[in-house]
Amino acid sequence: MNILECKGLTKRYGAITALDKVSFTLEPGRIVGLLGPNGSGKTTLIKITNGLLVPTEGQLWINGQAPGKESHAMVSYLPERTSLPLWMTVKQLQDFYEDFYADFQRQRSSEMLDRLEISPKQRMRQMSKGTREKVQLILAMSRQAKLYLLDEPIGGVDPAARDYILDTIIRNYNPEASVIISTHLIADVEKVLDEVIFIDRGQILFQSTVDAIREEKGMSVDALFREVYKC
Amino acid sequence: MAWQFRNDTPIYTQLIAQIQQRIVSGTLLPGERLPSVRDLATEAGVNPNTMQRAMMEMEREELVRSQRTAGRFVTEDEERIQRLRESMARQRVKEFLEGMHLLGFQEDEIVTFVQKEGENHEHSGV
Amino acid sequence: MLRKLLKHEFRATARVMLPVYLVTILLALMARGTDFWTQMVTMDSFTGQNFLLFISILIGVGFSLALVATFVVAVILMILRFRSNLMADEGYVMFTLPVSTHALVWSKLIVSTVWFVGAILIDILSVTVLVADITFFQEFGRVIHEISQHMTTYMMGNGIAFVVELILTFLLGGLISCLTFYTPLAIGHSFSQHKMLLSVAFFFAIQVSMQIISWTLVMIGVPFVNAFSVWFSNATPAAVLHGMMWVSILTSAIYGVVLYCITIRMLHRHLNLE
Repeated sequence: MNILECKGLTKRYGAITALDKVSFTLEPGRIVGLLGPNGSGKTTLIKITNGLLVPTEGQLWINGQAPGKESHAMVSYLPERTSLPLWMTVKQLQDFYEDFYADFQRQRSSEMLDRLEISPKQRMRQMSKGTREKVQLILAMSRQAKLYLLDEPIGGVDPAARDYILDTIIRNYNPEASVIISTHLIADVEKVLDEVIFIDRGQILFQSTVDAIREEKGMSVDALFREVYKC
Repeated sequence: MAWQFRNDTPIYTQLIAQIQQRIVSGTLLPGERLPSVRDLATEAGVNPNTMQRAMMEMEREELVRSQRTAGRFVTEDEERIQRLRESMARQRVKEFLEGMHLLGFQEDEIVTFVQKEGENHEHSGV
Repeated sequence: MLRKLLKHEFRATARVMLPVYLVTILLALMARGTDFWTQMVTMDSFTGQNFLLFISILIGVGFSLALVATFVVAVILMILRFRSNLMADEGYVMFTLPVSTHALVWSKLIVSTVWFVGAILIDILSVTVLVADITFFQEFGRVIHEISQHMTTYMMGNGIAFVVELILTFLLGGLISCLTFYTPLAIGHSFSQHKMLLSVAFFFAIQVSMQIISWTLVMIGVPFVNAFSVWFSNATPAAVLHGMMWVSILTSAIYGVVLYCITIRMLHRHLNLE
């Protein structure tokens, strides 16, 4: 079964069309880059997949389920904004994830937190923005989900943090699950991707594998991106 | 040796080339057990499926072999490794010659030039 | 899953409400203490007495404020929790949990109502702490005794029914006071700009339209007043009381259901997190 299937997905805000008849499918075991400039519809697509927005038209299925509490149990979502409550400690957050997600692996999250020397007693409020983002990533990646939706996980982080994030994604790779990484910083993520989906002005331009692009065009996805979205 | 990637060719072919380099240079010994695909992918910072594809390709070329439970090993066939070394050398020479031709060298000029440079190289003790 | 949401919601709110409750009780005890000093301790110096008086007034004022604060804080917390936990960044976490929107809203409604009830109980308790002495308890015992003596089957039935009606009214009141804020917040935050300003505007818009609707209903009801008065004159006082209670319970229940449905619909179909 496809992990994700979209059919004619459209989202309009009044006169503005954020997504325009988007259709694609995604198989398990793939790490996919959702690539497009800011405002191309990446976040809208991810929000619809998470049930945070309702499409104006069209449908989508996550592992055969419409977005809702059943799909939420299978999807691990890393929002663009750090959205964990600031008053909570790391331990309380682990409790929280353990309570709500049957697939949360506490041990794994503790190991990753230990490696970054983040104490379970630390409160979110006491951390730097970068550390908060890492805690959120660790919690999201510690789930044994079917689909990981990572919205701009490397936007605005330093190179060391970026490597850590990509490393975490590869390390937690699972052949039954798929990962969607939305980003506009392609050069940084290109090596970890199987496939890319180019999106612009709410429409899918094309979907291809990274190596097919390099083989056929003799250029990196990043170079192709710059060519496609040339201003 | 760190993994490095160029932008103009597929990543899996670059992975194959770099692993071959390690086998030929003896960084990976004949019969040595390779790390898991996941570990290799993590180390190289690439997608595990891409690393898997590179491994499959090398299995097809009989440079590595996989044992169902024990993992993947570098081939013990020294002759196969020798053939790989030669084909890689041939590739290097071909690229070298193409470059020299572009610089306007004729075949015999190249031979004398290489001989002279080779002696200098030895004398400088490198 | 509602149980887990409740646990989390209590955890998030208890760190504010419990200290407020505790401070109220402490102030009651202290006020009681100053009462004790001013009566028992004879101060030699005039300034000493003035100082004690000053302290006792301060504590008295503090205690009065605390009595109000238990409610005010509970209400403010109810509004802030809904806004920060569901309508702001934390909404990304909450709305992607494997729980229904109903469960999310109910966890907030229940927990806020519990804190309202808690505020009532804490205020009663702290006033009791302040005024209770032996005569108070004697008086209290006497009243209970009298009630039990006058208790007949008829009175008891009505008494229990009345208590049930009163509790229902209180609980509904708690839930509705939450929804009165939740609904406009949910509507206001479905817009992409001026979310808070629009929330306030919708709060007043809902209040005004409810006034208009209730007046319209009263006007429609006027012709039927005669029919009612016939029933009234034949009914016992207890029946009239129950009747009025149930009319008020039912109308507020309908009001609550309408607000609830609007809130759920807004969160479900028109969620618009920044």
